Amino acid sequence: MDDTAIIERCFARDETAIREISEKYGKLCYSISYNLLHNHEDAEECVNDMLFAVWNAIPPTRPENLGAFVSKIVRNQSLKRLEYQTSAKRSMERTVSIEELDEVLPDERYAPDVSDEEVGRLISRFLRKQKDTERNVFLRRYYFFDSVSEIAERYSFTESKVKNMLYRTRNRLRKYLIKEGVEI
Amino acid sequence: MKTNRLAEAIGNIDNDLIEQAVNSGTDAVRTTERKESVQRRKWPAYSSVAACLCVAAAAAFIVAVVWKAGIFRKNPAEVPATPGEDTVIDYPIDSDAVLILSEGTVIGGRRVEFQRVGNVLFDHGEGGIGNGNAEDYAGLAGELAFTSEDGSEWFHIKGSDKLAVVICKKDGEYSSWAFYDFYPYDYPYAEVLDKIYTVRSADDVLRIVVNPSLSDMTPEGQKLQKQIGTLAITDDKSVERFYNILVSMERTTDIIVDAGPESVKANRYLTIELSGGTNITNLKYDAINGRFYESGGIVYSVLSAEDRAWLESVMNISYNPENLLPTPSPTPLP
Repeated sequence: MDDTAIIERCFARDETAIREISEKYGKLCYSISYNLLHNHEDAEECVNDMLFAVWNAIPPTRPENLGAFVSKIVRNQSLKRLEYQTSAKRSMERTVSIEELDEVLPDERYAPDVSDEEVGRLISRFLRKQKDTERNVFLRRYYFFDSVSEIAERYSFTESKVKNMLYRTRNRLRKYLIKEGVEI
Repeated sequence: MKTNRLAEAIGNIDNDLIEQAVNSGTDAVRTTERKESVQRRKWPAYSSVAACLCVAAAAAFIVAVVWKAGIFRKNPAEVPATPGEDTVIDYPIDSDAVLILSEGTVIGGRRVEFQRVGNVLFDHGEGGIGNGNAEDYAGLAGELAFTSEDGSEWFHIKGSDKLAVVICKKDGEYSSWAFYDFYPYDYPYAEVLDKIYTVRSADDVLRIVVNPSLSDMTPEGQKLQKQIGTLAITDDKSVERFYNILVSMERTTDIIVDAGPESVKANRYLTIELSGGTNITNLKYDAINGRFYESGGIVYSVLSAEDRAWLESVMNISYNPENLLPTPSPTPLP
């Protein structure tokens, strides 16, 4: 079903919209959550939380891009759950991809007066200057939290090539964030 | 320990970039990559010959060094491209094995979660044994199961011939590892029963204990779990049919989404008790989707209608298919 039709159903409070979202984006959202949490039940719960959040958010929100909208919600839910688990010492696990981002910009070097939304805009601007493949590989790793081997398979690259590509992009991003005053 | 703020900020990037990344790596992109690859191959012939000679010389050097170092004896599927990278070498499970530290998550500051030994993924965990104390694991180590080229030794648990949980001794330190999955992810469950649990016929299964699903731990969910209760399948004919269903199914890469509270009625958690004292505790049955699954995203093939009906009858499962709309738990908006 077309995204616009799904959104219209949400506006009409037609519960079949939730089933449509689940069928269309459930797999994508589950994989984002599972890549972060490495737990089937937790990932399923995050997907369900996402569906609930979408149901409550539309209306009044009318997302321009439903896929990106739901993926952002489930990613956010999953990061919060990971933070809760780690801060409560329920788990000592952190995904390697987050460790890699810690190397680019550790929290203690994050400029205090810069919002996450602003940094998101700057990163968008930075990514638009990168080659398509490098940008997509970066996002597969740090937005969707795919493993290096999954990315390698997706793009028919060797794992070594993916790692090198990510390493170079991370370095460029770091320099860019320093230049823009985000990293202090 | 917190998640990284930069990771959160990346969640605010523009939607069109996310959409492009979702669709990237599709056939169209691969076709472009292949075209580029073909164009790159249009070199003058002498360049190709020179390149081949260089590659051959380099390969001969690498093979000589690796062979001398004794890194592998059998056919490797993949070797590290640069020093220091994770080593991934395919070995059949019954051969000498090389250990692979997977990239995974960081546990207690150490970057280990899974180790792939041949085509088997082991999960770093206690597997229900010991208390995390290395000395305890040393005491639990039984017969040697296999060794690796880096000198690590892998032991069965004392008195067991199974690989459900194994003890690894590396550099004098012991740790425990539990079977998680085979790689690649398309194998018959019969392989798990055979290779991991040494279950080769229904005679190896003592009984099957069927427990309610723990997916809903709210007071209502717990009340329902009590009502459902636990039952055991013990008669030989039923155990044999259950076994035959298990060996007929295959691991898939499908994803099933939890159906909310209704799943307590429809799902069951199993304990398959085996002769020799080991239990299989990670199998779960989902009547809504008509298939078995495990925690960690392992989902098996859909069963036939006949098998589903029999299983649901013997496991006393009843649920209302009309209530299957996902019922999310009430959490605040992100």
